[in-house]
Amino acid sequence: MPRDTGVPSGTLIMMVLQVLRNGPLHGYAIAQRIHLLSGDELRVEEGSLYPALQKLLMQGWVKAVWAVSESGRKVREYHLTTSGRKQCEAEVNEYERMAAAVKAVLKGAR
Amino acid sequence: MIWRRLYYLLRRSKFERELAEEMSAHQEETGGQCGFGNTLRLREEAADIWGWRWLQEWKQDATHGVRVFRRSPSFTITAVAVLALGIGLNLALFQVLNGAFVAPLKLRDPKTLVRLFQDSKFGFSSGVNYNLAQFIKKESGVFSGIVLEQYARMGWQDTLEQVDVRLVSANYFDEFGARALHGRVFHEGDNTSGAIVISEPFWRTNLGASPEAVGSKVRLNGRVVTISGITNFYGARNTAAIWAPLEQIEYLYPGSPLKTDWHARNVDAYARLKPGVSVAAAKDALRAPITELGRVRPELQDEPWIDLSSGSNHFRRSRDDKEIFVVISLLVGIAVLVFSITCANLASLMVSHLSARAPEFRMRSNLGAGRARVLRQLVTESSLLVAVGLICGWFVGYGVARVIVSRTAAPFEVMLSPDWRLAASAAGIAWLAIILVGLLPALRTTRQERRNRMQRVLIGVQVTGSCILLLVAGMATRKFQNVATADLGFQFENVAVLEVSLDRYGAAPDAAASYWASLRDSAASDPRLRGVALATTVPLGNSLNEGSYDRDAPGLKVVRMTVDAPFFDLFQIPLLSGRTFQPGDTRDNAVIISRRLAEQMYGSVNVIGRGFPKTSPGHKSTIVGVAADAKLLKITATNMAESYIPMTPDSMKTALLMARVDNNQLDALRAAANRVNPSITPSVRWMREGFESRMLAPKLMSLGSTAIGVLALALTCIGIFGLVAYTVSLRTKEIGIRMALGARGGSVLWLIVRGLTWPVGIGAIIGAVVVIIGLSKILQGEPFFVDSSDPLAIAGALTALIVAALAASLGPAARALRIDPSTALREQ
Repeated sequence: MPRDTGVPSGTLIMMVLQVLRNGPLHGYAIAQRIHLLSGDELRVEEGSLYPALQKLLMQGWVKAVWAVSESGRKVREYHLTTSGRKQCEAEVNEYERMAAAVKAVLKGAR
Repeated sequence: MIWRRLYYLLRRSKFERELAEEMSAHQEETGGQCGFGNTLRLREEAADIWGWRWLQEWKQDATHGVRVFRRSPSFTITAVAVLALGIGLNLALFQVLNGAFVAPLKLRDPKTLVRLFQDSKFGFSSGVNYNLAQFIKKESGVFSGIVLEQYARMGWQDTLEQVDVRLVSANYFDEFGARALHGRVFHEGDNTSGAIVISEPFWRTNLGASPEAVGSKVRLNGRVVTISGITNFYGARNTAAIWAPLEQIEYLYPGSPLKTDWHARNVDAYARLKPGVSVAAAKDALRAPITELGRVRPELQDEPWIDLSSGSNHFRRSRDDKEIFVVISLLVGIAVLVFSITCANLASLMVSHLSARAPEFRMRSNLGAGRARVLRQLVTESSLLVAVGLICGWFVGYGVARVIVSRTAAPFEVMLSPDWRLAASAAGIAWLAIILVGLLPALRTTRQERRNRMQRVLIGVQVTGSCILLLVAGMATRKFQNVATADLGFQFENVAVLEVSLDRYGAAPDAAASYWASLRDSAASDPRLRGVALATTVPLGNSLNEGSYDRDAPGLKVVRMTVDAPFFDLFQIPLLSGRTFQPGDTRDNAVIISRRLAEQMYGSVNVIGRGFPKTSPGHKSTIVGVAADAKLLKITATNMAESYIPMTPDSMKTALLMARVDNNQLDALRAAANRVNPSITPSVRWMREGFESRMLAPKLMSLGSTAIGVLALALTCIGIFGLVAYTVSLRTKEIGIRMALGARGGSVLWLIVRGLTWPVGIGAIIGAVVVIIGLSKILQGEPFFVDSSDPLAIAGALTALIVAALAASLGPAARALRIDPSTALREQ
């Protein structure tokens, strides 16, 4: 079973952290948000989202809290912790540095 | 993160439930449109992130393993019993060995502790002069403390025996780091007059562990002293009973010359180096003050100087235990052998066990289990087995060690402490044996013949080990029997020893000589005492020395005793030629030697008037008599001879008296001494006690090796039994066909037992060859002196082995005869 259709490898954790910066979200909402923000380009499969969320929990980057969603459903919302925020910044910076470097190579080799 | 993972582990079901709820909620939102696939699998994948999957699988394996063990209890019980015995026996022997010999004393800061030796142009000695030690303590400036210790034997209460006493300086306990269990030990600056400290074992055996012991008054050497404390510290010598203050020596020995004498070197001295002072620097620093001392005290003509060596080496067990040490080392070798038998046995058990479970493994692999998964299952099961075996072995080991220590009445105090490292390594080795020898080959080969061959090899290994052990046991037992009934060449039954340290009372040689003369007269007036002799050492005692004359009598060890004329009569040692000592004989001009020494040195017993030793370049004595051989020192040894020299006035100070006493009238001897001088308390004891302690090593060896040999044989029989039973169950159908075709019982039996003749035969031959050729050198020499060609021992051991092997195999083989052909044929 393909793990991530459309999500570049290694970026899922960073994206999840990033979308949580604006406030707590539950699992489905995270997937939706990423899908929308990517202009319908990226689709996060549950098969990769939930292992990623478990990993975030284990690392202590997020906290899970049971809440009631707008639609009245009982959902688990993920809150970014302080260390999660730091991790997010670090990963975004790193990613941007890499992306710029890759871009430069692509441009120069044209 | 590790805490979060542990928290997850503890609350796993809650976490998993939440994840399931969350994911099903997610699924509802998407309306099941996107690929959730196998929800269970997705959930497991998410949960795997926490990294506890292995634990869960291990739990499954373990549960399954326990179920398997419950289903085959005979295998489980046998395997655990074998493991427990194998591990326990090793643990026990190593504990005894460790407690008795190896474990060093726990001294405070042993690195800065040194021992002092006194050296001079007249020779080197481990004893130091008391006054010299006191001088060094005051003048040297390199030591922060000097500990003095003098060993003595003193009368205890009103009993006839004497007990071990150490006269020690007040800083002894603090410097060596010993504490009181009850009451108080000595400390520097204490008023120690009339105080003693006793050891914990002494408290138990002599005072019945009485809670009122501390503070109570007892009599030591006839003087009243108070027990101030109880300790469990064991000093340099192997037995310790009582510590008394050296400063108060005159109280226990009125007239003791210790504090005025500058010649005797009779105190053991240890020093604590000041911080930062090296041994070499301390030695240098001592030179000037000692030279200066020589100027102030012209009576120190022999120009003493002091040598130092690192202290902790001197706290090993004394040389007397060496013999037992070697015996126990052999027992350890034996234990290792037993352990290899155990491992072979386990491996063989495992092979049978796995063969029986073949259908189960086939089923598992058909259901998609990989080989690694099956292997892990088996490794888990073996680990469980070994863990249970280890726990049982731990208790078996402790119990066996206790029995060994209490049954052998070991003359050493043993502190038992099961060593967890040893236990763990034993368990580890057993585990490896199961895996490497039992599991892997069994899994790799599916062919039955190879498994059978493997098992036969394992049986052969076990038989070899058992054969070695039984042969050694047989020889040791025969040796013990021979020795116990042997004629030692002298009669010590009913001979008692009276010991008293006259030199410690400050007696001059004439005073000592007159004491002994009066005691001789006093004894002569008592009809219960028949025959009296003086010597400086007791035959079969601990302080006898052996020397050798390598040029004249190579390979012979010669005991040298200082005795008076009636000695030979008292012990009924016949003089083969010449005469006994007479007035005018001195240690420089007269010697009596034993027959064996005469024959080795001169090739003849007609040596009266010749020089001794034969080719000595220096001084020679004249041989005045030849005595019959007598085993005065080592009962079991085959390389000993004796020489005797006469008493001198000086040796009277350290003399002791031996008397033939009518049955059980030991106090007659004490009474004779009391009539001479009531203020001196001698000890009296029977000589047979010395004999009994000399018999300890051969007895220990005989009992120990027999017990272990029988155990090994039992293990091997379990192995043989298992193999035969297994063979019968495999060949049920074949046997049924044969019987249906009219085969006779004998030939069916032979069919089953035939497979065993080779492993048992070859194993026995290898074992016998190892012992008779390989071990004979060790066994015949010191200190075993075991005859490795004793035909009775060899025949006995081999018979026991073969009978046991037959008995173990016939039981299950006979079952084959009862097989009903029609049922057997219906089996698949």
